[in-house]
Amino acid sequence: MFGYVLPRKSELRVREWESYRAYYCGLCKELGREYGFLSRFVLNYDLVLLALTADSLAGECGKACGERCIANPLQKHPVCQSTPGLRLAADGLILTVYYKIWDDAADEHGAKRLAAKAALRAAERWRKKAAARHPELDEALRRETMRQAELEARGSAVTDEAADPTARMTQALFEAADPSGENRALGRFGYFLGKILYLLDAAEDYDEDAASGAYNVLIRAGLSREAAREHVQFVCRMCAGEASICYQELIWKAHKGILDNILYLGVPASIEHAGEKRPRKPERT
Amino acid sequence: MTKQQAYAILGLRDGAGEDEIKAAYRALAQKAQADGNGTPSEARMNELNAAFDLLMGGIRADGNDASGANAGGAQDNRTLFAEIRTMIQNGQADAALQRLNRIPGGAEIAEWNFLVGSAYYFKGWVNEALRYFETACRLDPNNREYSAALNNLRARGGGAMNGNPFYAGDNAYGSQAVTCSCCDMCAMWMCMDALCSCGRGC
Repeated sequence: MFGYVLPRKSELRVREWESYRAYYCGLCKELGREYGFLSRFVLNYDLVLLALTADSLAGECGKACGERCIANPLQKHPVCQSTPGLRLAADGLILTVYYKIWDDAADEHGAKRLAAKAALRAAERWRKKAAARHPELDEALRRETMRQAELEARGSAVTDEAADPTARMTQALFEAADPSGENRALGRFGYFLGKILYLLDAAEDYDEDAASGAYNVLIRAGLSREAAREHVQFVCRMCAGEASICYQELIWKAHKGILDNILYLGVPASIEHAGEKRPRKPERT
Repeated sequence: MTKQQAYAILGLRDGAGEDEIKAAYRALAQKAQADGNGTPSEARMNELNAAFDLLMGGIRADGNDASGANAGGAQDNRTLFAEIRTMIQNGQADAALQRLNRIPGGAEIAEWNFLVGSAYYFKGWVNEALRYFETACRLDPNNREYSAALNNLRARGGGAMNGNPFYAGDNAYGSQAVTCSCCDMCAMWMCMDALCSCGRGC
């Protein structure tokens, strides 16, 4: 994922912000414990939402302890101790990263391709571990990565079609957050978030892809830069609206303040800034 | 595929009637969905659809001969559309789209456009859904169902979100008002500044 589903810090209560940070640090520690030191460099903020979602639905509040961290070894920070949500987010992150590299190894040329292949061999061990715990998620990610490659090769110019594989990957991640498998709304919630992520990423990469000739559905659709941005904003707002309908159907037992903030403030803010390069972490103000 | 094969696929005796065909089709489609854990295999659905269309096509052709082609055609579409509606509600959006695309001249019919839009909506393809809802409304501007579907999607495109706790009003454009509030803020600060230089120890 891409660092677009973040909370708006200025609207969070202090304890909510601390809890969010503790989840982020908890995810980092979880990666370190399960997949070793190097895996911690793939950490990003998007998967924190998955951990919070899974724990919220299960009524798991998480327990934070003060711990030191390699990024800031002098000061102790609250770190959330391992929860089912964090374990799922760590496995999900490893699998998404693996399939991203898998896709790169097929796409790139020359030195980049060799680098991707080497990384793929290293990541294979991680994938096996994560896939053993979530075989259906591994299968879904593999299937959708291949669908993405196929539609790119075909040069699809339909936004909904191009965003569909990423949306379904996110759907699979969120479905894994509810092992009972009865919550259709949760999968659909993930689907629309995934669609937003894909389209915001396509808008942000517009110039780069136009220069390099890489596949970008917005360019294929013949949209100018400005038209592409407006189109992405409109479709993303529709998706956020749909996601909010699903969100209201679910019963959130913990972390409600943070989740509300991410969905109703963070996501619209990311949509508002579609097409702009920006830091992929919560604002500091 | 012959008629005999089609009857066999649906598990019926040769010459079974319309109601039996529909009941068998529905039961088998639901079974396929249950077997596939909610998403029926495409090959199986294609087989069932082909068998169903072949047999129903025969029955309709017979009916048309008796009651006149035009009246029969409109009646056909009504039953067919009702079935497709059920398919969409059961989550078989892709199968519904396949059947809709086989209807000749469908794009000219308001309900066809509405159903294509609904199938896309269920799939989560909201932008495609919007396009077809727009056409449905253009072809039949007085239909409330079509205009409600279109207006809902348009409102969300404008930033409306359900249950937004950060926006206490029932304006449909709630979250947009939140994200645009910097303009309001500027205006407010300018007014305050003009009135009493607030914040500078007046």
